[in-house]
Amino acid sequence: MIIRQYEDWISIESVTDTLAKMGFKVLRIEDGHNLYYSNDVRMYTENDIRVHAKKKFFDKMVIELNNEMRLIFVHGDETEAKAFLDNLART
Amino acid sequence: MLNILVLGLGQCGNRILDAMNREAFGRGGTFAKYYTRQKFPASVKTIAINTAINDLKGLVDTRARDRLHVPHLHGVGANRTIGKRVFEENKEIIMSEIDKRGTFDLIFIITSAAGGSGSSFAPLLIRELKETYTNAPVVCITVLPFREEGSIFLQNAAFCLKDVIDEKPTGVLLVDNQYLKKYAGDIKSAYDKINNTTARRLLFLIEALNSEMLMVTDLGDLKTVMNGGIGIGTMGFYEASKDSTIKSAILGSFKPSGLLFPTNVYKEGARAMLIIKGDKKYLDLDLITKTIEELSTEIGQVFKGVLVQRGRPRVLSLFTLNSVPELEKLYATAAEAIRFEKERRDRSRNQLDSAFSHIEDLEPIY
Amino acid sequence: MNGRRILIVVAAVALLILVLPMTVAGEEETTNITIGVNEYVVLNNDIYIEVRDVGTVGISYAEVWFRSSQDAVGTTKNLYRGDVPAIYISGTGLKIEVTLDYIFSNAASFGITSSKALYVTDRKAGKVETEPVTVPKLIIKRTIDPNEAEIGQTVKVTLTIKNTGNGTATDITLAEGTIAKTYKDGCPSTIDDIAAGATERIEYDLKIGDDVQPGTREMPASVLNYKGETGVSDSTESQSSVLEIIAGEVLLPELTISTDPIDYVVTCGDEVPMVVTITNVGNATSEKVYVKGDLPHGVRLKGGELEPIYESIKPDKSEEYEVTLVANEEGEHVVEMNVMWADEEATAVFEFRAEKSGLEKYYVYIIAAIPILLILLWIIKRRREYSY
Repeated sequence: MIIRQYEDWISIESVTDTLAKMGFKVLRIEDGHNLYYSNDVRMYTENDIRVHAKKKFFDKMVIELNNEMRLIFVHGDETEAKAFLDNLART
Repeated sequence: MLNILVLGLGQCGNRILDAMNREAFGRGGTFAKYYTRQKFPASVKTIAINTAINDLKGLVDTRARDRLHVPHLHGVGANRTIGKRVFEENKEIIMSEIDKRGTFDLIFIITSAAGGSGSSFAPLLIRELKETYTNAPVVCITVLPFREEGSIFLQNAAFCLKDVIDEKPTGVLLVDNQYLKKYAGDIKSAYDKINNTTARRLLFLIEALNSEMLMVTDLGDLKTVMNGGIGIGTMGFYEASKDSTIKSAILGSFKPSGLLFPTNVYKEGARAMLIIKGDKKYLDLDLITKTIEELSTEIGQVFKGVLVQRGRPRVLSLFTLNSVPELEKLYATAAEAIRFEKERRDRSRNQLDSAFSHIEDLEPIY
Repeated sequence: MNGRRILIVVAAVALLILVLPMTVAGEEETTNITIGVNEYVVLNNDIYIEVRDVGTVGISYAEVWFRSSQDAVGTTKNLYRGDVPAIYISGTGLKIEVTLDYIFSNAASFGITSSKALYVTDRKAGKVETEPVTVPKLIIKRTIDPNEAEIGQTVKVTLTIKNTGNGTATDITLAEGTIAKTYKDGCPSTIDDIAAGATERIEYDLKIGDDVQPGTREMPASVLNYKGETGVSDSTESQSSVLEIIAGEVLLPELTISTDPIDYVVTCGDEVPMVVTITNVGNATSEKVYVKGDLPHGVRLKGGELEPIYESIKPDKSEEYEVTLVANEEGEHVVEMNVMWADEEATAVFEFRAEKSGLEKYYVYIIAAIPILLILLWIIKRRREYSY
């Protein structure tokens, strides 16, 4: 999993577009549940949105957005997670 | 899927186009066309346009219906003035033939700057295509002649390139025969090698633009790169050896040995696009990002596209230049040739005039 | 001298040849003599014939003692009535043949035959019963009318019994001959007494059984056993008779089935018409008629009813129907058609030869050629596409 913090608010569209460009098919988008504890603010926040995506059979990626903390969590193959973040940064 | 139009103008353009069509058959050899289909990486439409019917007949892997003969006897004889007139006369035919292929997201025009049909048609065709397909970027791949091919060819190349740039295509990618000649022995194999190399690189680019990438670059990026500098650029290529890193592969694609036109990328480069293909195990994204960041400080904006594909890493670099010293040399040589030609013609004319002067004021007496 | 002697000898021999047969054969003469019991007669002063006893043991006999002057012991013989003559030759060579004609209560009457003239030279006579014994003698004659009859018919058998004797026949039993599988109706086994000279006529019916084999049959003789008033039994029999049994006309239906043959070779898949004709060649209307068809492997019915059922077919009438067959496989095909009625059946076969069509013969080659053709077409197409 890779976590990255952004200056700007990340739209769900930019996430799905980036996934599509990388050949991922978005399976479902659901409200987030995972709690994230921030050392900085010493509090838990709940991730807003989870995007489940899949390419081929085993290639899966789950992206969680925590817009309150401007955080993005990318679960999946590390190379692809990095590429995703790089691609997302360009949108 | 991207809709791409590739137009091969004149003998040189036709041959590179034919090489692209041959490459699309895969590794089937001469008979591949009898048992397999072309597999273009995108929806690619090709048309070979020429006034010389023999040049069209010489093509092997281009379908007959993709060969458009613009009727003017057997070519325009390297005469760009006649070529332009012929184009104007047959503009409707050419454009309607292109129109039959549908709409396009990207248009490549491949032409030699030195010949007759291609060099005269290319600027005018760019104009027409820009008017008709307003949204489609038009990239002109222009092949420069051997310098010793003759003054007419040099002259044509000089004027053609000027005309092309004047029409403001999205970009001009230069391929220099003179520069590439050193990689092959005789003229024939040099031509074949240049044609095949150009064809492969174009297909590599088309495939990347049409694919879902790990790190994404797209048509918009291509436009941005082509708009950089003076709108003139070229392509470089490098296939990594067994033990080389992805960084050495990226840098290798900027080396003169991999370029289609002699230039110093680090010095003259304006914008660049790097397309990297290879096994995932070779694709160290951090190293790629880091290398590109380093390049960006020297060249300017560098776009990257990473495509997971079997095999060792292969890197295609495509860039535009801020200045082209080699062109200046070409134009200087061309101007010299034109001047010499003009002087010689004037001298001949004077000689003829003085000969005619002998019969001035005389009438035939029979 | 010698010549005369020879002539006399020849004449003597010739005379001898002419005279000898008369002397040897003589003239046979039968003399009837009745001799009482314990009496004798002497013939020609030589042969003594003495009757010792008479009686009946089923047949009349007489015990006779023959002796002669030079054969004092002689021989005693039992003579039976109807037997061959008893022969006696005397000591002097006189030969006699003696048959017993009749017996009486105490005497017997003989017929004596000899080549020599016989005369009684002496007789020792007792009291001889002169009253004759009455003896019946039946003659039976049988007629069959008609003597040519069909199976199942009844013929009349007539027995005519005549008593030609001089006594009444009593206790007459009739053993009538029999032909196998014929039945007698009214044939008596005993017959009333028949007076001397009377004729009895017996008629009975002989029915010829249904299961009798036709042909010429011999009916064994009728045998009559009877007794005379004296209690002497006798029997007689008729001639055997011949009865010609003719197979009678039976009313039966008889069906034949036939198919119209075709003399051409058909092609697999083509329709083959088969016309089936069923004719009643019998002399009676048939009951329900079933037709069964046995199609061989590779032949199927395309149209028509292969196995129709007819309620009845009248004599000399035909039923005809047509079906359409189709052969799917090549070769000789034999369709067996059976017609069944009552417990009978008849069969006809319909044969034809089916050959594969010209196309099918080369099917394998065509199949093999198709991909090659397609590849060629493809290559030509591609060549055209790429040739300018």
